Amino acid sequence: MSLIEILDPSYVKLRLDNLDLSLTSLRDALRGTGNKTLTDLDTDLANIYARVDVALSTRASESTLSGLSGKFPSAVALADNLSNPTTTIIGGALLGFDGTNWGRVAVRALDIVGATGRALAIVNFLTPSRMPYMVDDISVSTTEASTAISAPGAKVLKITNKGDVDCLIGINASVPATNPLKVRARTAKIFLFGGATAVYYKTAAGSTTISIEWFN
Amino acid sequence: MSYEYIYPKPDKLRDKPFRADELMKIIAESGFNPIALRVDNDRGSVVIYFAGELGEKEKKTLGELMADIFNGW
Repeated sequence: MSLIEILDPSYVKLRLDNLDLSLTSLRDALRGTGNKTLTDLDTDLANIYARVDVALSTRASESTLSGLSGKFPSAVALADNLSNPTTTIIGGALLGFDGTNWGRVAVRALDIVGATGRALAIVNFLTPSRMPYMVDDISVSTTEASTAISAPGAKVLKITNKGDVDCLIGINASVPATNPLKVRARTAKIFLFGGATAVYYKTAAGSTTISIEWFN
Repeated sequence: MSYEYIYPKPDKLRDKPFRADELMKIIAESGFNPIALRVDNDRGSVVIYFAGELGEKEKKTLGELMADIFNGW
């Protein structure tokens, strides 16, 4: 007596129906969009290995990178009497803020210790740059009076006393009560000033006549 | 060119004299650009100096401005 085992045909069909993919489709799916075989992939890997066969430390010492190391000096402790370091020059743009905007600070070519160099340009506030003016024949008495000068004010101011009485002067303020500056009778005084916008004058007694001349 | 304005009550200036820089500021803030301004507190005189001659309209405006200043002094 023997036992015969039979595979049910309907079961076989059921399983075969699951193999709904052709072998060529399976192959194409495995190759991907690049249609690369396993041999192709192996060749690609070999090429990649060939390119990374040098340690990164070796790559970092190549000319394109090693050149950078020469741009920086070796570290050294700060101390007096250090020798001049050999280092990369890094230019810094000198800018100044005027309260609203940043702008380039100007320099001028000047003779500096016997050679032409660049010096920071400054505004010479005592250098007249505008029209000179004169107010003449100003009567001065014991009552303080004044003459205003338009902004930025006089940088060079000349007061001439044409009379026979000393004239007491205050610049940008009333004549001081004590020790005021005097422009003696029949003399003139010249002042250099950052910006005299008003001249006050009077006499201690009597009267005189002055003229005021200025550059601003 | 200068323009003189006379304050009609100079006696009042003994207590409150004109100060040229104060008047200059008022006038400059009103749009004028004088080069100098002189006050004489004995005579009540204010002389305003300009680089050139003012037009008729400017002269009228300046006169009105000075009248306002004098009235408020």
